[in-house]
Amino acid sequence: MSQGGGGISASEVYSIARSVAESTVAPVERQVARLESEVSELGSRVRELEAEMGRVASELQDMHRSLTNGLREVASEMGNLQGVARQQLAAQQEAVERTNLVLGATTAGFAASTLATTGVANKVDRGTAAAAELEYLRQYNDARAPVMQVKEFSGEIAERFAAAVDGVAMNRALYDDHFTRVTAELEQKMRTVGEHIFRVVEQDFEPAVATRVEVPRMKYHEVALVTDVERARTRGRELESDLGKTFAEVVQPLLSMQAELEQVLADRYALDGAEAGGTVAVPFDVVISGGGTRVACDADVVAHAGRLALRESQELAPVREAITARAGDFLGGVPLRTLHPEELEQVVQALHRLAAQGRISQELLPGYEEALRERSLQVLDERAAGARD
Amino acid sequence: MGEQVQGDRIVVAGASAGSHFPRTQAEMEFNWEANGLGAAGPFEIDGSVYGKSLRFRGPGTVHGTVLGRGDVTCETGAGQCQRFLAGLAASGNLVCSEWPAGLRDTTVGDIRRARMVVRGDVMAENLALDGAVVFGNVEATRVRLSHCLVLGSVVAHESLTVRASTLFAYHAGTVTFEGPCALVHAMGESLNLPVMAPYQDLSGAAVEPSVELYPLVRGTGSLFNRSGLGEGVPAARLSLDTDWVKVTRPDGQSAYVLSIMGRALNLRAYGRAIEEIYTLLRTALEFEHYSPRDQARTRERWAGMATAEELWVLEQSMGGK
Repeated sequence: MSQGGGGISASEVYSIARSVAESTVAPVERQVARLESEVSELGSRVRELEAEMGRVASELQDMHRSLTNGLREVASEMGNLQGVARQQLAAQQEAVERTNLVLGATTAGFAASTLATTGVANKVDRGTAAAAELEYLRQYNDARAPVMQVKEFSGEIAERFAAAVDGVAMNRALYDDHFTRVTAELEQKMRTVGEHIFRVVEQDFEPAVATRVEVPRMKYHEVALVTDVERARTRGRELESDLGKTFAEVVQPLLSMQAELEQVLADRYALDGAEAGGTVAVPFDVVISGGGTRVACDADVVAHAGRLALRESQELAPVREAITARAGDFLGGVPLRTLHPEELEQVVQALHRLAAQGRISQELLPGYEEALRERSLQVLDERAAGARD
Repeated sequence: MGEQVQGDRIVVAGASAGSHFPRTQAEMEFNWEANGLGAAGPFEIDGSVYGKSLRFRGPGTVHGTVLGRGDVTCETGAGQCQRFLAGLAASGNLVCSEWPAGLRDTTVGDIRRARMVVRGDVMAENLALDGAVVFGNVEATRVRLSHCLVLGSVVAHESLTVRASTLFAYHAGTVTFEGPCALVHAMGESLNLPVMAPYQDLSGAAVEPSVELYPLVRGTGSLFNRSGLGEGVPAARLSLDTDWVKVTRPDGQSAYVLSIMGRALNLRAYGRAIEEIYTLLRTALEFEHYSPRDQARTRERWAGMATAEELWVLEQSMGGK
């Protein structure tokens, strides 16, 4: 601002006033915008907070709308103020035109107006925020009031329940006490009335019968049973041991001897290729002694089921004939005869003796005997031979 | 005829329905007596009997339990028999009168001479039975059995004397076998080695002690050991040297236990005899619960399984007379 000696022009004053007005209105508008932003933010917060309570949210929206309207009214008021300021500026312009002194006063007045405008804006700002907070708190309290009431009811119910529990416990203790006393008194009276019955039960029946019957009879015989079982087990072990010892000391040597005997017999008498149930040829010796001459040959022996059966063997027929011929030659035509029954019996007896002595097998004895009886063994006829001599 | 009060005595004669219990405090001190020797004939009591001191005289039957808070005395003569069909117990002594007869004239000679039949347990503080057939256990502090057949265990907490008697098994502090005795089970336990004492009857004749095992003579011998009558079976005799063994019980105390496991090799016949005896007893005790058809079948089964003595015993278990 120029304060030259020529004074200030009206356009300057106007521009100054305009700039002052602009500098005054702009903050207010920004403030309004900021307030709107804050209110909007507040509204969104309220919506978030009151998501659970739609009613409060709508109220807040209403509040937001009312605040917006209020702010618009404030803006309108500010516009009015701007008009007033313009009027004042015009008046001041006139005054400036008249006197520079008035300009200072006008300037001061304008500054005061500016300050007043700022104060009003601040007051509006604070008033708006306070109104919003108050409204929020009112709505919040309105919404929270039922919850608080429910909480109060719940607390009251819990207190009453705890008191009831305490009361029940007290009553129970009291009841127990009374019951115990009643029971004791009942028992006492019962015992008084039926004294002789209790006497019978407690003094006679229980010691004489009940306590004795309680013990299972088998309990008295447990030791005997365990002893029996233990002795049987020990005896079993001893018998097993004795059996093993007997087998080792008696049976085993006998079995070894038997095996050895069989081996010796097999080595000495076994026929190669002979099979059980098959046919074997048994060579017979021709015995010629001073007391008589016996010729026996041509016999095959079939071992069958422990018995021997003699039968003619075509394969040995040539051998028989050859031996008989040689014997005939040797004996010089001595006639032969069959054994008499008593002689045959003597031979059979001799076979039995040999079997008893173990010289021949007891098993084969019936076969030998059968062969002797069936084959009619021939011997030299000594009488005929003597007569011939 | 029912109950009569004579001074401080209550006397019952003849048939009596119901039980006999003291009805007043004063009656608790009364002595009680059943008399089967009077004109009313044998006593027949349908219920139970309880009293201070009980006395049973002559023949008769009690169908209920008998419990004496003092002593119980049973007196019978020759040819008389008392039957207690639901057990017999006394807080004090339980005594049967002694049998003044030679061994041949007791149950040993003929079991039908039994003077007392008890179905149920017999319990007392001191107990002396003579000529009794018991279908149950016998338990007392001191027990003396003469000419008795006990088809159950005998438990004597202090001493047991077995005189010419047969029992299933025993458990005693000390045990004495007097004369010819028999066991159905080879099972017994005592703190001492059994004492074998001779039996002397009225004639003054002494009989050597012996204990036979009944299952080994069953079918040919008697339920009683008749070695005193010249009918003993030496092969069935138990031997102190081999059949009683000294053992240490779980409580650390030494005891002598009867066990034939030391010399028995084949227990099949013994087990079969025991099984048959148990079958007979079980069916006899269940008999009254069988249907008439099953009862007839059971009797047929008995005939093929039981000896003449056993059949008589089975009849007694059913309250036969």
